[in-house]
Amino acid sequence: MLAETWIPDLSALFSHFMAESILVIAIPVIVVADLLGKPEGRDRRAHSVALVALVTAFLVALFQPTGAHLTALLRADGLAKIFRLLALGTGIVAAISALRSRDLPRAHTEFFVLLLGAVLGACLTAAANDLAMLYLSIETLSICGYLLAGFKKDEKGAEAAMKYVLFGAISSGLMLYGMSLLYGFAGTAVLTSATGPSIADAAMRAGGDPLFVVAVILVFAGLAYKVAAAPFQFWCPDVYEGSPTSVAAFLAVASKGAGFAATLRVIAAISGGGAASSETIQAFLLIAAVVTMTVGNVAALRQTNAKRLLAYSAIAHAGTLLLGVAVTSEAGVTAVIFYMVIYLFMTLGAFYIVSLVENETGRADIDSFEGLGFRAPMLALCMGVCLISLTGLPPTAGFLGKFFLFKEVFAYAGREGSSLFFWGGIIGLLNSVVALAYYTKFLRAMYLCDEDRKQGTFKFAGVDRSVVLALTIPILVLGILFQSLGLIASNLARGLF
Amino acid sequence: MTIGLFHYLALGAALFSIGVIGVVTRRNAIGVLIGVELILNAANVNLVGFSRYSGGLDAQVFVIFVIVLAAAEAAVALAIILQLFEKRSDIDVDRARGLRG
Repeated sequence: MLAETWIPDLSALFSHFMAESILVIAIPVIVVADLLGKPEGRDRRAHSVALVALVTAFLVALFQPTGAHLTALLRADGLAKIFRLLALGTGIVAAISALRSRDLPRAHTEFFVLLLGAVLGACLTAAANDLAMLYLSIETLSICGYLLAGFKKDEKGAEAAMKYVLFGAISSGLMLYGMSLLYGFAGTAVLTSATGPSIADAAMRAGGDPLFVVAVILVFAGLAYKVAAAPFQFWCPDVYEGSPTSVAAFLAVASKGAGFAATLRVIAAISGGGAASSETIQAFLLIAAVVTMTVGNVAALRQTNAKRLLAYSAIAHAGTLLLGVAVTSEAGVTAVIFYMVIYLFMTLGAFYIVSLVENETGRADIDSFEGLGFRAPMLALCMGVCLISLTGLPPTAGFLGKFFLFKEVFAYAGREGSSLFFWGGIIGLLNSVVALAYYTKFLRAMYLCDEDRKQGTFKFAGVDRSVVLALTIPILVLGILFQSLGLIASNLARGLF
Repeated sequence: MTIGLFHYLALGAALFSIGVIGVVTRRNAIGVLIGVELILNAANVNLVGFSRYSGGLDAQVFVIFVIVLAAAEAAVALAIILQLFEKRSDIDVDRARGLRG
């Protein structure tokens, strides 16, 4: 009897989570392949298995069905789908970049096992609909992330990993305590449910109970650490600087994306029915967003290391995205998904080029970009596209991402008559101007420098060229074909609120 | 006196506060880690209390997951702290200043 009801469920579950299953299978395959084969070529073997698994999972995830409510623990909706694709895409770029970078020691087998584990954690975080599942998947992502951050076994790497693990452990502890209080309010760990009790119901019952607001804010503390939002952003520049560049890129995109997916799911559950506490929580998110982007942009101004600068820029972008999350409507989620897709291309593109320059010069300072516009014109042009898009200037997709996001913020401010949101939007726009100042540092270094730095050519392989082009061409294409991406994003956001 | 939900929550809150104070005041990385363990166990006490008095068994399953993950996290954190100690012979959180700006 039990088998009859369980087997169809399991096969449906498998078909909706095929991408995750591929990753789960690939992890032991890498370990076994490492043990069985010849010692030479270990790295290459692990690398190929990991890359094949990630690419297969990505292709499978593209065509995975959405919409079914299979279990209370996991959702296979549009939000899960898009953030799963973002995590897998980042994983592919990080895996390619890791094997080609010189800053990693040998023994890549562990690296790829941990990378697949982290991608798996990110995929499941985006799908989790239960506090226990959410905690489990975030910890899978985090624990693999701690080890990846310390993979460069020098003093800086060890320090970066220590800062990452201590900050991470503290914030996940706060989040867990908040989750335990939420469980107390609801009597269940399920976020939303069509039939049974859920935290969404508890939010309606709790009204404006201050303890409920405290519990939600504690949960957001853990998620704020994942997305590197204030006041949990301190680890971000140190970790990006000390960890391998491929890992920094992974943390900046996949880890942040998973954090935003979870934030969206929690906020959708607790404010879906217009609960009384949602206004307080929205105000809290808005203030966190404004502080985050201001802190990120102002601190970025005085950076000389490219990775630290990109870290502060990632903090600033987290602030912008949080502004979209604070709107808590389907249109807001659409804008966040739209922005997140563009953010993936521009951030990964910038990080990949930084890792190429780092391989060539051995340093990640902005000085090492001097004369790149003459030594490697194509690379510099691609970097320029990424930077213009990160600033948010037309004709790149970054401009449209910011445009749609701020449009939603001001539309919300007008609809609800909220001066808080209006001023939040204004400060956000002013921040974009500040961002222009530090991104141009790169452009100045690449094109305006002494004659002697323009000599020589900068060689890089065909693989690198194709990855860089694959990451930068979409920025320009999406700047023109934004309507189709907007349509996809709004389809994916449907049904969350 | 009968032990009720309140007592569990009070114990949880006390553990949480001690943990937070430990995290904030300790300068030794392992001291910070001990504070974190207290915070995690505060949440566990809360969950078990809620499970006993109002919720279902799922909270107890949650607690078992938390215990396993806390062990994994502690193992990884100790390994990383050990690696830093080998490089620097010092695990003072305030003196970890190689990366800044």
